[in-house]
Amino acid sequence: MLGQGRGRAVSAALCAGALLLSGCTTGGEGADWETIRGAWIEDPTTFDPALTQTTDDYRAARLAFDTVVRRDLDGELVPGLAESWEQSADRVTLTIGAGHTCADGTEITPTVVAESLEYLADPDTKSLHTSGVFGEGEAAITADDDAGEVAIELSEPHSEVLPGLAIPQAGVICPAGLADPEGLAAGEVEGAFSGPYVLTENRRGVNYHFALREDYDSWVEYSEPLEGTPAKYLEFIVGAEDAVANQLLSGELDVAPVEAEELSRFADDGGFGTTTATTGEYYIMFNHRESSPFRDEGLRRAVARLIDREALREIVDPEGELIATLGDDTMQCANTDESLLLDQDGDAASDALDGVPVKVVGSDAIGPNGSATVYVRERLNAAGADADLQNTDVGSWVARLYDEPETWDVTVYATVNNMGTISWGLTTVLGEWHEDGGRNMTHSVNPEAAEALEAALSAESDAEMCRHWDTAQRAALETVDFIPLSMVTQSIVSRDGYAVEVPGGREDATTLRILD
Amino acid sequence: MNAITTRPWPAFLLRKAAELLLAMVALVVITFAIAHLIPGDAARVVAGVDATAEQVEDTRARLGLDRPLAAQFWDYLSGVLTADLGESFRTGQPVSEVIANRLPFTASIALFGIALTLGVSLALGLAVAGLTRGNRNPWLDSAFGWATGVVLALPVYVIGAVLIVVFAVNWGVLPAAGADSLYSYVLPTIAIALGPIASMSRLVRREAAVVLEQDYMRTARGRRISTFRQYAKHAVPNLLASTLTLSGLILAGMIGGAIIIESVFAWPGLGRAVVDSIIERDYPMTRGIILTVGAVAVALNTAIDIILALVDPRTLRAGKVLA
Repeated sequence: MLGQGRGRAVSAALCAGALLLSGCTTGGEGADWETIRGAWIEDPTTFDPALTQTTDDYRAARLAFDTVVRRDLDGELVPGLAESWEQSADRVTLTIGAGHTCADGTEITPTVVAESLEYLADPDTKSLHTSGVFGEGEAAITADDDAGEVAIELSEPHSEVLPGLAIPQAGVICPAGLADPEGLAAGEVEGAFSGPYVLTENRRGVNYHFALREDYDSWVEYSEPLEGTPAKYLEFIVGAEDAVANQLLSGELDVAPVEAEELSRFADDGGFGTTTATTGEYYIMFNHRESSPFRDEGLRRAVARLIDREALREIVDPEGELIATLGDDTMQCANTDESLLLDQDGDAASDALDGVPVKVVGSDAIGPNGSATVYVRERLNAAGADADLQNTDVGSWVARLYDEPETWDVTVYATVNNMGTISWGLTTVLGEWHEDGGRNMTHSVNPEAAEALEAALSAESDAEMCRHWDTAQRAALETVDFIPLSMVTQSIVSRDGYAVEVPGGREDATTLRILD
Repeated sequence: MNAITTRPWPAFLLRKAAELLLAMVALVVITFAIAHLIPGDAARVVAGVDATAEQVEDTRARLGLDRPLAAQFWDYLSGVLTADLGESFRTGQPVSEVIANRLPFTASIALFGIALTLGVSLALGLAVAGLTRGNRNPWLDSAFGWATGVVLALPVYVIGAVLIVVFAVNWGVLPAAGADSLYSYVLPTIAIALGPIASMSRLVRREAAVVLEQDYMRTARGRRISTFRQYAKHAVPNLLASTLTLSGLILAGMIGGAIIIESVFAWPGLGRAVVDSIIERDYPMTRGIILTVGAVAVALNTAIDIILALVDPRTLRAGKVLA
């Protein structure tokens, strides 16, 4: 396929010196039906699941580390390394299944699992995911190898331990990895891996190779068995975000995430299929501080009446489903009642917003070239407000939201919701303020919603949790503490002969398959 | 006659060394300032969007960003002097290691690019100059001017995209991106060289037109020396000074300009790494890469000046006069 005639001659001449300079290899080999070739945005920052921070960190962690629970295709929790579990508000007991092993053959016992979870819960680990998994209090983790159980006791109730344990960041690290944290982070300790694949080659900036463990037999039993067979080898090239569509079309890649604006290139080509994963939620976030006009509920309501959510969804993510809270209907307790959202009424909005100075801030990553906030500014100005827009790169924008609250009034925000729960997004707009150790960036003051949120996170049962979440969501939507827009999606294009699933809507490379 | 006139080389080299040193000092200061002038809080970006205020402050302390700017500059300067460019904020990897891994990729397409540029533009410029000598083939002159003008007007990313669509997506004969195989070098090299080929072949054609009308060339033609020998022995040496000067500038530009080409072709070189480091507020990486690229550009220009002085001693004398 690659390198015919003159192309080979020219490239051979060009590469004579390159071999000396950069050690490039020969060939341009195509698909071998044992390997799936994919793409990552950038190099993983770490192979230590507890210390992961970026999307590609999570992708690598999912491949190399199994979790105690997993998500079924519909989002329900299903057994992973744990074959069953019991949960109360402040205690989770996991029964670890038999026959699971690490890549070096070490048996994955309750003690192995407990040590890994202790590492995640330890404040000295400085994991960003500890509170998401175990809540704000301390977690005491004990193992009983005879009973095959791991017990997690929480000093403060937290109802989302199990969803937290399903995320790749909670992947079980085998003893060899815990004994060598630096090697673990570099991906150099093969015995650290508990998942189906081991990292075999790491060429930073170029590509990463994984191999399927021959002894691995801990595949998730989904409610519908996956079609096809797992690849023996996985190869991920790095940094090809802008080039991925070309590489799929030219046959260099088999399965890869593709930007929404590139999807039309595959629409008329019968040789590809598309799977859509969700990664978070888009919403309009208000600054509720004294410095902002949107401390006033009336002005927030005016914006809600002004914004056409359907139009804004088309801008931010045409593939995303409109939502009525910060999550979709696959998430437990998510509100789906759109009547809680205000209908459009431009005249009423104009009456309220006329002459109001508004500082709109945004990121050039939300909508093409930051067009989401351009839309918001234009709608505000059309309604008579005096809206000023500052769009910057993600780093400057986030720093402004957190550290310069007096410089913004409204933005279009997006979560990266790895937990797959409504609490992940809702806690950014409700409850304890960021300055006080919480995640609420907006300084919202809504005692009813905040109280219900606390109650939901410490509920004893699913029914009780959903009842409290319902109260919290209603209270927040009625006072327009935020305006939900749509799910953030990631389209994954696969060449004919390859498939990938998205359990619970989430990308999961362990579901990559070569079809028979 | 003073010492400089009688011994121009030591003075010339001394001046070049002083210029090099001054440029490096400026580079060190500018690279430190640039990183800190990027808006946004590096500690917040490194700690992650979801980090708590406490985690952000821990990160700030760990990265040394809570220290006075002067102390941070002193650390940076001491590091540079001992060839230690620090560790990446993002991955903890030594910056010098990242540069050592990535520089060959950037350097290889830049070197291939300049080799292709020199080879093609010398041949093309000389051929056009020869074929249009004495107002012969005016259509060729126009076509050459038009074609090189079009290429020069095309941004490098457009050239790259067109090459990918034609050779990778439609014909499937070369890779669209990545650096996995030997063939991966072809399209980035052509993309980076096309513009310089257009500008340098114009220069060669113009200079060659003058050279070909010189008496010594007429004499060579009169003695029925083969065309190849005429050009190789008499024309090319007289074009060297101008082409070398331009190629030095082009090579430095290619290393700096690789940012765009590396993004289009997902090429794992320094260009892509510096863009990522700026977005991620990875100060040590940004500083290290810009310092390296700047140092390479300064060194290249100095080397070209020295080669020019060797090839054409008039440059040396001009240097003395100017100095």
